Amino acid sequence: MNVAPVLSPLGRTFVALVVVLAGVGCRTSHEYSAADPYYYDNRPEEIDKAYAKAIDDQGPNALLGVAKILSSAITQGDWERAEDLAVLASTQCNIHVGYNSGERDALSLLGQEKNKPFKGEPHEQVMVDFYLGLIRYQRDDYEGALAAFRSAIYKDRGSYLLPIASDENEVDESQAQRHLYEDDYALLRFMAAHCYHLLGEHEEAAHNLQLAKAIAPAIARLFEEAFYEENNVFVVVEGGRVPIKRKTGAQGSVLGYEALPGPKIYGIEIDGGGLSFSLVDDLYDQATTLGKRVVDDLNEEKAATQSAVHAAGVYTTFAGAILSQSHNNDVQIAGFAAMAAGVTAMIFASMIDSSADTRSWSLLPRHLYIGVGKARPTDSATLTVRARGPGGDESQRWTAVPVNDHANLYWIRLLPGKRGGIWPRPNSIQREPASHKHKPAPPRLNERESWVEDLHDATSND
Amino acid sequence: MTTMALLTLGAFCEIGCNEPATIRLDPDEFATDQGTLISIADIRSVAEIMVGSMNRHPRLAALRQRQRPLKILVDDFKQRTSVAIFDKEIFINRVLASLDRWDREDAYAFIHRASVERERRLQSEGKVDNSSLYDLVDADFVLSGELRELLSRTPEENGGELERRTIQYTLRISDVDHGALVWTNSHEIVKQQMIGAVYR
Repeated sequence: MNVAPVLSPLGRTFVALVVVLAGVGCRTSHEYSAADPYYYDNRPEEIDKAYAKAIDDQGPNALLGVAKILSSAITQGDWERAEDLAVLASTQCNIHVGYNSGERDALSLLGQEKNKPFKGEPHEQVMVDFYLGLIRYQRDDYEGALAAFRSAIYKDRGSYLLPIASDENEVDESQAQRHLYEDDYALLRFMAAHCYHLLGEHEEAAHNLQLAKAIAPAIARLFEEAFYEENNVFVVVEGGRVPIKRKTGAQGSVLGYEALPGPKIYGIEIDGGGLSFSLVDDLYDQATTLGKRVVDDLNEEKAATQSAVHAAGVYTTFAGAILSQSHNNDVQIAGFAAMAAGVTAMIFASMIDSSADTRSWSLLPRHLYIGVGKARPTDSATLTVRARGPGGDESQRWTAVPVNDHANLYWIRLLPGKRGGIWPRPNSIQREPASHKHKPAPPRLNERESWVEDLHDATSND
Repeated sequence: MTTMALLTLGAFCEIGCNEPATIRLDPDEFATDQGTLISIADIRSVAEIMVGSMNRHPRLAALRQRQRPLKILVDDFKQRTSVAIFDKEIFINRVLASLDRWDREDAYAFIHRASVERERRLQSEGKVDNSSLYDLVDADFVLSGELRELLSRTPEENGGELERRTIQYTLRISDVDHGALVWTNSHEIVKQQMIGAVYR
């Protein structure tokens, strides 16, 4: 049916407005937040169950769910699954399609920032590639690890618009100035340096080590120790909770952070030998040192528009109500029209959500520590971290820890109630059987047969 | 008035409260984009360019005339970009497969360094004895390469940044005895994407 002749121009405008408002207002998505408390109750497997649908999710929160399952997997020591998840998260994090529908929504007056595809703030994006680097380093893929650490480094640098100081306003009337930032994660530069070192590229190793020391001069000596020939053990210890995102400013339009206290480490030992250790990076500092985001300016503008439209709506409704009391029919009709316009304006204002996006990879830690030292090659070392958090003792003791004669990297997450146990080995995690894993294993060739086949393939033209 | 009310109701039911439709990406379209990362389309096109360059190169052509096949050890291919999700073996596999498809005259015999190292390890452990297979690792040339990048971010007027990543693919064939370069070729692919329009 052609509705155009039926409706007046005003009617068509009204219908169009209703359609737009309805489209913006009813968008739904999985939140991936309800099961978060299980993680801090040392039950990471509950995260896997609750957020499993994130793997196939095509919605705006997919990365949020995948990242949280990644946290769960590494906390359980399931490195094989963690790498798959880290690759998936890194893909989602690194590919920006640029002004896709979610981004357009967030930029529009009626859009909500929470409707944009979640990519995380820089301190969250960094951790995706950081974990990918750690996982690859653990399985001796130093080249892959280096690429991941460098990708993480690039997440923490760029140029940002920041408000300029009031005494500089005369210079630039735009009220904002662009600042260039260099990365300042000492741990990332240190890990990149060590990867270069292990790949035999010593000049690059020295350059990155120098940058790490410049970022954290107080622990320069600890970084150097890691390169001593006799040292073969690194321990990365994560503690506390990532700062909580808060809506601040007018109508919650500005993203702020609330820091939570984390545990303090008193000692790291392997087979009774103490390791040198230190706090290297604090995600609260990382989250709060880049200043206001561009989107914050947009949100503040939305908040101002919302107030103006709402005030105009109230005024118009009030004026219309007075006019509608008139005994003159024309004036009365005009009054009703004004009331309708005023109510519409108030509805319009109520649909503008200028509040900041507080979706968060809430399972990340706050503090990143590193320990450096040496241990004799064995299959049964004991690794101990002594720590105390706000709620009490958070120490962990791990046994049957394998130690090689070259680089060994151990990752430990401090959580209340987590005490350690037998160190998880690759493929030691029991998983739910998946349908594609029921295929019979291919017959195993001995090494010599396999080699002959490879050679035959490679030289089939001979 | 009734018509308008029905239309309004219809608009709410039809458009407003539906679940968002599932989005399915076209694999071909997706593969050609990948933001500024490396896509399979990039690999395919660079591999074809490299193979074309090898085949047209006069010195390699002369060598192929003199000796058949040219025994080439596939050595290290360095991945030195910040692209965290890229398996360099995909590129090497594609180059070798493209050469194999082109090579109707058995001009090349490729031997992977990893296979050679494994054979030597097996021999040193006494698990296999020296055999004619070992002769095949006595290559005449070495194929190696690198993947490097330039990454720049340019501020945009309306906020956000334009990220531009240039990936340089380089392959080279050197003489195994003297290390002299016999053939080399580089190819760059530049890709860009908007970042920070909403995400800082």
